[in-house]
Amino acid sequence: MKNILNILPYEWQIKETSSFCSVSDIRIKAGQPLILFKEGTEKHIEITPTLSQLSHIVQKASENSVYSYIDDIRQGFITLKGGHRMGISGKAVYEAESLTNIKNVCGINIRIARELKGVASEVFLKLISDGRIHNTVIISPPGGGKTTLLRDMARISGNTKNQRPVLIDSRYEIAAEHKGEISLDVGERTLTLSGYRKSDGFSHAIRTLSPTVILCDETGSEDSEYLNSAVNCGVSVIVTAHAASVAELSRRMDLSPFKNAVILDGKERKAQVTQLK
Amino acid sequence: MKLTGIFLIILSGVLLIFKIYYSHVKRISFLKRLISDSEILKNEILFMKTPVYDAVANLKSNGACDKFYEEILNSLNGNFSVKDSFSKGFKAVSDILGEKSESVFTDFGNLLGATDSDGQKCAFSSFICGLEKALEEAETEKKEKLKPRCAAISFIFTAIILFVI
Repeated sequence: MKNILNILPYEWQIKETSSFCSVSDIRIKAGQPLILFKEGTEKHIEITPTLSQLSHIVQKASENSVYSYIDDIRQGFITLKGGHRMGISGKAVYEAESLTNIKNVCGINIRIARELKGVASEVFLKLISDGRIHNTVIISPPGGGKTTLLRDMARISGNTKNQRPVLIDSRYEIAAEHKGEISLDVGERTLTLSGYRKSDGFSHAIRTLSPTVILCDETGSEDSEYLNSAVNCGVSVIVTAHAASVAELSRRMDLSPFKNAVILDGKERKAQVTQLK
Repeated sequence: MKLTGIFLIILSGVLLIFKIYYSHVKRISFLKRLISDSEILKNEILFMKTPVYDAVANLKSNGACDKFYEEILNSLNGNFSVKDSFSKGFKAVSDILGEKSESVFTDFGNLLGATDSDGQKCAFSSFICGLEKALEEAETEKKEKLKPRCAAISFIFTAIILFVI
């Protein structure tokens, strides 16, 4: 939480320090009260952020170095130290048909990363047989706990004998790498490729890191090529995807490489393993 | 007694001339160092994408402009913006640089880190250009003002010595 408080204006830190404890999301909109989400409830705080305060938060989150985070900003987020994701809303700047920047930031959503060790223990046992991890897709709507589960799977496989996991952490959220240091526990054998695009990450991992399993967050239909190439090389994959059900996901993504789907119920915090073929 | 007095007058004259000369030399060497450091900073920022704080912290070990960088780093640590930090950094060395070049530093502080790489490239070009101009001015000032000042001081002290004799 200290990493998040550090980027907020000083007067907010003093006024509402206790309120920020154990929140899951902080929603900041210019001219509206600050909203904190905590275990399914929300709390309105008597703080009305201004546009300049939002700009200050973005500056602080990017360590006063926008150029250093511009690729992330183009995708609409900045990952904070500790793996927390700060989503930003504002006005898009396009150049030659591609999004180059976001200006006039008027809304921010900070998602607090949770490290829950052991949440994947039960599920992981169902995904492994004869020492081999089966290709698995973890499914849930946003905020359902996919990243938390994937991080714990990386940790468990990284602490399992004869496994050589490689984690592709494109958004620095899973291992929360910061200046070369891995902040969250992803297991002693897990090698992390931080900031890699998925295409480069898969290719790098397969060619040079001798993986038994590759773990990757937030895949979509555009990633089928890399997933297939990994599977066809004899490497297992565990990935996450946004969807409420297998049927919903199968409409936009090829699920043929996967043997299992783990469906997360965000409300009841339950994980259900389904065999796909 | 007279000899001691003359010796003290000559000594104080020499010291005064040295002080004036040293302030010019210090300013020029400071600006030269800053220009070469700016090139390093520019490369760190444009090619390595190093955040401002770390890039400035790497320069600190170079020694010559430590006071300036130290003030910037302390201000950045203390929740100040880059603009305010550069302004504070400048104030810490304004006795060396003179108040005239303040806008070069505050303008650069306003742009540093606030834009993408293309914006940073422009910010550095403008900053280095401003520093080079300040260096040129300092060198011209040294040439044009140092000699008449030294001559005036020598004349005054010689007059005092003659008066004493």
